[in-house]
Amino acid sequence: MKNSIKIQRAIKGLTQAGLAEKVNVTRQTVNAIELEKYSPSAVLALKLALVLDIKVDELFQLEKRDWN
Amino acid sequence: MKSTYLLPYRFKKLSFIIFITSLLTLIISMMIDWTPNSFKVPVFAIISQEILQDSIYFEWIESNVWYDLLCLLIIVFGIVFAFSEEKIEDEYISNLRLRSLVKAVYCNYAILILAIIFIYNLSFFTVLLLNMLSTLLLFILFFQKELILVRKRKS
Repeated sequence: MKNSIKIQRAIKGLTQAGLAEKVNVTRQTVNAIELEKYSPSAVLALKLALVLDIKVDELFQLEKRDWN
Repeated sequence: MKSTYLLPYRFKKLSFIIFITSLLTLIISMMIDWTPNSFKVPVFAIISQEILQDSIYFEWIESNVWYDLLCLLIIVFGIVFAFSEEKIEDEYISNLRLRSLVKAVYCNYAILILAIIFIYNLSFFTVLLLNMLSTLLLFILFFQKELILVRKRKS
């Protein structure tokens, strides 16, 4: 699953640690999501979208491999 | 995400100290084949059988509990250490925990399968003894390795 968290975070002027604090996870979790090493739960995805003030389907996009 | 069945973070440090101390004591005791005599005490046995003797059921017997105590300390404090929450326990950490647990179970049984095929007689008994602790030890190793790698990973 692709995501544009890094870009949206830069637009909002947030660091990974800052964003992590707002959604109550570790910086490592935000890092893993940005690097696409981890797909967040629906709750965390919604929280990230809310904090970054963007629709969740604009923040996360499904890829072909996600259908397998 | 609320983690289930995990102990509070405050248990982590103390359990780690007791776990590591007991583990090192067990390893050293086994290596130098040392058992303190003061640990020979009466214990209640549900079943006990000495070599070439009949089994005893539900009786008090005398036994050296040094290794039993060390194993109990390793298991209890190993479980407390392995299953207490991290400082910030979130869904990614839970995911790493689950992955490490699955890897530990696979590795443990891979080792056991190899031991069944290649190790025989009394030596196999030692393997079974070590196998009591190996799942827990492997899980702790894999999970701590994952945590260290994740913490080192740069954005």
